[in-house]
Amino acid sequence: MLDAFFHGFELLLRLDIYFYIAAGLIVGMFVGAMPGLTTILAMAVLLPVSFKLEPMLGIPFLVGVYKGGIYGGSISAILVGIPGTGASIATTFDGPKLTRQGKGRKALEMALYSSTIGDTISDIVTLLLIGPIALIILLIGPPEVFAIIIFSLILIASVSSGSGIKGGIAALLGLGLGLVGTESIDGETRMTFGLSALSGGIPLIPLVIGVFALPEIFDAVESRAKSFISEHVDLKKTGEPLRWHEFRKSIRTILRSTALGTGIGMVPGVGQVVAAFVGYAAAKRASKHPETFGKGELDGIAGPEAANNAVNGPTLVPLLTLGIPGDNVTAILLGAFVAHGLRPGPQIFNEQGPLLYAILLSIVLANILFLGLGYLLLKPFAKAIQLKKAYLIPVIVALAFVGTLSTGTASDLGIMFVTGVCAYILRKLKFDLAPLVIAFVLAEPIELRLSQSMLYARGDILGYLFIDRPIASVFLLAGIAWILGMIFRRYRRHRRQAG
Amino acid sequence: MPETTSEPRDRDLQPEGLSVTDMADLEAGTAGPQTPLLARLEVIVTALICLTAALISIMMPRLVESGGIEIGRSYATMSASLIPRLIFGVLAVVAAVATVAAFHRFREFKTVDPGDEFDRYSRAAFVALVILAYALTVTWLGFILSTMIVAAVISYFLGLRNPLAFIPGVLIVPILIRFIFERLLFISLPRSRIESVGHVEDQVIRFLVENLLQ
Repeated sequence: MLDAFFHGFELLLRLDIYFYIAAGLIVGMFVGAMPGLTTILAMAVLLPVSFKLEPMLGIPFLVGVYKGGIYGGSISAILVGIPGTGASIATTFDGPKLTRQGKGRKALEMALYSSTIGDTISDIVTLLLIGPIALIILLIGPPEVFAIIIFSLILIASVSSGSGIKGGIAALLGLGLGLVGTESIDGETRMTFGLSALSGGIPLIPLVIGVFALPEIFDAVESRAKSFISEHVDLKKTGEPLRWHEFRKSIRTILRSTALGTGIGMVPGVGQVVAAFVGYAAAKRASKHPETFGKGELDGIAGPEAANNAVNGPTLVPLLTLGIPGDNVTAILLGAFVAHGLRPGPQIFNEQGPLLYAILLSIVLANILFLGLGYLLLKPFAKAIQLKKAYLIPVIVALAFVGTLSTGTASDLGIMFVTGVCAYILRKLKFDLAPLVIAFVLAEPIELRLSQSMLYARGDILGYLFIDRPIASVFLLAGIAWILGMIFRRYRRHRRQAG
Repeated sequence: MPETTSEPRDRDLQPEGLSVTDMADLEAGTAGPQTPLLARLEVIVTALICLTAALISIMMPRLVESGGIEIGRSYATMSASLIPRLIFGVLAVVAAVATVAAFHRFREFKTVDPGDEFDRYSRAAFVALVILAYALTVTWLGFILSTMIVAAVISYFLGLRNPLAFIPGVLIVPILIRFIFERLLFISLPRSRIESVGHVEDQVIRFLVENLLQ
């Protein structure tokens, strides 16, 4: 494994890698800064671009979009109080107040530095832990992997959505859609309804673009407002840059939030939004002046920003070691890995160790680029949030079409449109669609692992999973307990409301 | 006096005292829809999901086409219909629970000022129709021409009126997108089936290749 790690370093000695990371960061920051658009939209639309590049360029490019997007989201959160992404909601508690006090520049720089530190430390932790974790996971078999996937899906469906039932429906829909087409074991085709376009299954690209990009376009055109924000941002009034003594006061907050974000990132489905809130609450609790929070406190920026960025690296642990994406971003990354012939799982470290370590190292190095670009492009992106929709929406529509057409099948446009309209309706009804996409990519592994487990079980699958395989039974029982706990909590809340 | 509903403003939310699941709720907003129209739609959609899933689950053996790999079948420990049948069966049950919950929510709604709801959804529906038309015509008109038309329609719809402002978004961007994706990323995009248009497209792309890449 150490050999693979050092070999990975050699693969990084290419300038074009950094060019693509920088391009990804710029696109991500730009889209993230737009209050109506999200990083997921950019990743969904640009996923096909990464397919056309070699893995060493395509995957870091997408990671760049992701990293840039999270920071971009905090620009509009600080300047106008509108979070560009969900991860920057907690930043709106203090950001706009600092801007109004003429400290907008300080807040933006604090967000940049704390994001970079949080991200870098968590990426290094990921790099150090991922190999040993993969070695441990190599010791477990298909029944355990099946049980862990099921447990993770239950967790993701219940936590990522506002309602456990809706999360469950989204996950089950995703599983059902993921099983359309040719079955992986004996090659029989199912649920194609006579459509030859579906015999190979529902393709990932049109589904991802339909689910993540089209609803955002429809959302953006709903309002008659010509720009994403109504407020005019006067960049001349953002004040002085951040001073060292101001930054030094927040170092403890940044490190605390980084530790919290790193831990939260390892749990599938919890994600950046929760991490940002936890980081903010922890910073406030630890502060000697908690009363200043919510009134324009730099620690109120450092806490959530370090925590939400620290989630980035650890989400790759379940993705790369077990093939389980913890959120919609890693679901898209899983698509990119698979398209490049890299099937995440513990074996990937044996089969493609150097390449994988090179990708992970490039993610760490991307933080240095992120720091430089974030600093230099702060003003242009702050200006960009005032861009008119009429310029941006047609370009996004065209890019969504290019992405879908990149599969070479025009019928995929139909899949994109139908999934897009359905996703828009479901989003209006408060369904979170992240479990749908995650379950969609996990449907085939679930079926395969269950089939392998049944082969081992020789008939009595329940007895085998719950008695003969203790690790598998722990995860399955934990999943059942989680569902029962949710039902109990709902029942109790209902009783309390009725009483 | 009609009641009005309003979504909670993000900046009003206080993080202290929130559980992890409560904080996840913040991202998704509240669990239920905000207006009677959406509440009614929720009942219809969940019921539709329930019925469709139940139907697929019942009909599943018929939805598996004959064929496949003979030798693979001898190793298979379960039929191709088992897992999908199970998933759609569970989905039908969960969607039935959701339908009942949605129905209760719908009954709880009183008269609410619809506001600009109809206007908002009709705007989204119009853009959806434009995108549908784009999807149906892009292989026939070609990427550049169809994108120019769609970009012009959407830009006008979103309030762009200055003829000069149309030039970058409507005329230049579609050509640049085709050039970048075809020549630099090797993603081929449809050429117009109308020969005269296709000829112009080829000329423009050739001009860009000669001046920018050589």
